[in-house]
Amino acid sequence: MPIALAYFYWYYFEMTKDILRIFQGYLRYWVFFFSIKQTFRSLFSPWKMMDDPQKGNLMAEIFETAINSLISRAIGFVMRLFLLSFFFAIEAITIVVGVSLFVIWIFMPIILIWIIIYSFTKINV
Amino acid sequence: MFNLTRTRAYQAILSEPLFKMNKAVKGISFAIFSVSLATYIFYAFAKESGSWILPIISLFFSIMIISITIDSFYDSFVRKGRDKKRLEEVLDDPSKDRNLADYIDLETAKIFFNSLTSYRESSVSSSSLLFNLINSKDRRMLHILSRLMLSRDYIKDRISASKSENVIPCDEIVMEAIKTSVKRGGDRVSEGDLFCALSFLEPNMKKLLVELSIKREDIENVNWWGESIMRRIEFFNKFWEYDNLIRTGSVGGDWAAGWTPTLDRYSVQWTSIVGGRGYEEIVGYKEEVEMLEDALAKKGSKNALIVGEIGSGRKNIVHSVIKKSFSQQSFPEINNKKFIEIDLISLTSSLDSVEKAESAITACFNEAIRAGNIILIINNLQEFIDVQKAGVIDISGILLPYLNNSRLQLICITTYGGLHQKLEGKPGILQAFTKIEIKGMTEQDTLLLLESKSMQMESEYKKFISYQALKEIIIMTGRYISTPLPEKATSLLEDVFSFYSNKEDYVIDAKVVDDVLTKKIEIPVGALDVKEKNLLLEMENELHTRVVGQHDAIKDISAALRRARSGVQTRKGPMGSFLFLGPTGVGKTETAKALADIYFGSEEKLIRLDMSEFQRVEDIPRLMGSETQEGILTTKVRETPFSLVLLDEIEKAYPDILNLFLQVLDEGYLNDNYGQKVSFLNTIVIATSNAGYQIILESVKNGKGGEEIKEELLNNIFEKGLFRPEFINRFDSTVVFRSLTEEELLQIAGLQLEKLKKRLAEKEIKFIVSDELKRRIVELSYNPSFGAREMKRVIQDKVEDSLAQAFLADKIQNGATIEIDPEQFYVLIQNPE
Repeated sequence: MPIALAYFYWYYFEMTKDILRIFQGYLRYWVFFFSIKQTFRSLFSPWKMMDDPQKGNLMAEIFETAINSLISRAIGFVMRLFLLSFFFAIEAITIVVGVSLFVIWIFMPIILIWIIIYSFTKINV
Repeated sequence: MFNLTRTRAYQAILSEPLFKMNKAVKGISFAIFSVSLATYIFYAFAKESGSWILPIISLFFSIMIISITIDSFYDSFVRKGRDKKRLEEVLDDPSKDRNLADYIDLETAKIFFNSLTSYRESSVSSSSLLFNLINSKDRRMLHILSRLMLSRDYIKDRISASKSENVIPCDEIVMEAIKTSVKRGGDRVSEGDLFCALSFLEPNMKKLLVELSIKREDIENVNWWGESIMRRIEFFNKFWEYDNLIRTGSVGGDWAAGWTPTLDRYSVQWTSIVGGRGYEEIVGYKEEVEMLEDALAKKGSKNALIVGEIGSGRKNIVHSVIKKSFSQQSFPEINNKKFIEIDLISLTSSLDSVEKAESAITACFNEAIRAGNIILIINNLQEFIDVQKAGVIDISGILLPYLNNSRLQLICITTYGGLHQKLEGKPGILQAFTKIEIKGMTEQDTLLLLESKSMQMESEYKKFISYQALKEIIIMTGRYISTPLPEKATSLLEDVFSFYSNKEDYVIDAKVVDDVLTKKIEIPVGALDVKEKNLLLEMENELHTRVVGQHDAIKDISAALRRARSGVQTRKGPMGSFLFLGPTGVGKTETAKALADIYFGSEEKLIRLDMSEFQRVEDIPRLMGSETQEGILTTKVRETPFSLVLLDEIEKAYPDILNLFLQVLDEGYLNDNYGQKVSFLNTIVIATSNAGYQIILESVKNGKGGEEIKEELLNNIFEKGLFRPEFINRFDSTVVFRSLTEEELLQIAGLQLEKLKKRLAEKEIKFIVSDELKRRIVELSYNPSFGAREMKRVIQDKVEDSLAQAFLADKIQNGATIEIDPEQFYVLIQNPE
């Protein structure tokens, strides 16, 4: 393959593949960084397992244990919800940036050539 | 086929001036873009119209971006040659007609380009190719040459001086290089692979490398090393890759995990330790790592018992799993877990009662189970099972109920000794574990580990270590230290750097390794120095300064030592092993003492055992050791591995003890009661016996010669069953000491009296030893059955006793000259005036 043709092959085939791979990598990375799998799996779990085990059979103790568990789970849920919100926000930004970069990449040669021609005309003027 | 012109690399080489020009365009456009942007910003601050600059900014910005993409195209595509053609297919089907030039990278193609007289040529002058390769500025070649301590100029001079023109077909060279590249897992032939091929095919280079003791595998190993460094640098530079991104860690992974207050107080976090090292790649142990992962992830009890000797790399296996857990490359049951060791020693030492300690340990286990994201580790499990010592807790009772809990993941580490002595007696505990045995790392993997560690140490100590030094570490530790790899090698590497840190020299070579190891184990290692070489060549003369007569015996011993130390000897076992046969008092023990003094530097390096003390089966534990006592032989040899072991009167030992020595003489090792190997490889073993001495006395009387006496003696020994033939055969030499002649006895008398003379000279008393005195002593002391042993007694009774009386009676003053009357043995004194 002639070098000039190889350049376009590299640009539109190899680099496009790389960009998509890196984009996918970043999407996976945020899933890892925010521990999404564990977070979803433990969405309603008590915060740091802070639910005291049931001490006895008396109704009062059972009620107290249930309340503790509920509060702990509520705390856990709220914290995890914050984490998930951050994750979704960053993931959305990543998608937007990634798609934009991808589109720019695809059209970049045309854009650049147009800019060069346009700049020359403006300079001449 | 090899046709360079039909490759993309050739096109790249031809268009290289354009790519160089592109780099210049990139630089210039960046400069103009920066300046114009700065000008625009300046105008903006000055509130003036800078809109005329905008077209310039956009123009040069666009040119810069285009240049950057072209540059990137050159670096990632043209130079690396990303091609679908696999190297392995060449080796799978070598007969297929293909252009081998397609399989070389750009830098290697340039070497061929510069070496071929015509680009359509398919053969090349090997010296021209080598010349261009050596001159290459590529980092791979620089690395190979520097690590192997090869001087570029020296190689060039040697090639130029040879004047021979060897023309080799290019496809033969490339094929050879492809084999090297495939071995290291490469996807293209690089300059390092080409250098490996030429070291094999280029005659002058081959000759030079033989002279420098550099083998092809050494070049391949260094090439491999360089390539792995470059791959790691490339990998770390690509910060955007997923595997790099995840090194930052994660957030929120342990929010569902419980608190562990007790465990936090008495634990060591292995995850943090491994993380602190950047989760570096751990070498080797692939199978063992997989076994550990399987054990921790299986259904039911998830406990693993890692068994191996200290220094065999047991912790490295856990570190590998930690790395995989961190980067989520392991099973879900292992990913994102924390690996925590319960520090039982600090726990028991900080709590003042056994009950509190047991309660704390139970709390640790409960917290780990409850947290749900912890894998517990207990190191040196054998120290805490069946404990006899005060102040150390026995956890076997606490451990048992938890082992069958599938929510607990536990890794225990122990030794073979611990397994056999403590755990095999507790089947309830042992059955709950998956046993993973670690035999130690291979030499090749240890070399990779040393290469990796040496890079860190070089930057820390600001030194450079040659490949030969690393290889020397592997060879010498294998030869002189019997513990398993890799720890003995990594420990020596650290010692070498630490020893050399305050020296001015920058380069650490093999000699430095030998010097450090010699100091460490007190055995002279490595090449013989001049002093030792002279000693070995003059061994007979040296021994004769202390031993009278026995020329055949001394000749045998000297020859055996020369063979052992020069590296000519092919059998394993001790440096030398001898069986001294002969009557009592003829110099057997004296020869052994002389050898210890001359060769090992001191008579203290003589380990002497009177085998008549080991005549019963109950005496075996005294030699080898037992649970309640250390072995006399095994302990002494372990403490002084470079020594002479003298087994006196070996015929009196219990027969099973002789069988033990068969292994020592054959393999050079003995297993003590703990199953640990004790090495005899750096000892000389001498056994003495006066079995069949009557044969020697008779034969000498009948005027028989050396070999005849020996044959008769050995036949007699075998007939009477005193020693088995297979025992005698294992010695390097059976040396017959014959009875002493009168002349020899006179010499011995002279030597003994000379010792007395020296002692008196220290008191400034001159002692004249007359020939008559010597003859008289020989006359009184000579007994064929007892040899010269009586002589000491006679000198003591007759000479020393008289002298003692004279001293006590103040008859002898300082500066006196004395003589002993040979008839009556009274002291003739001439005091100074």
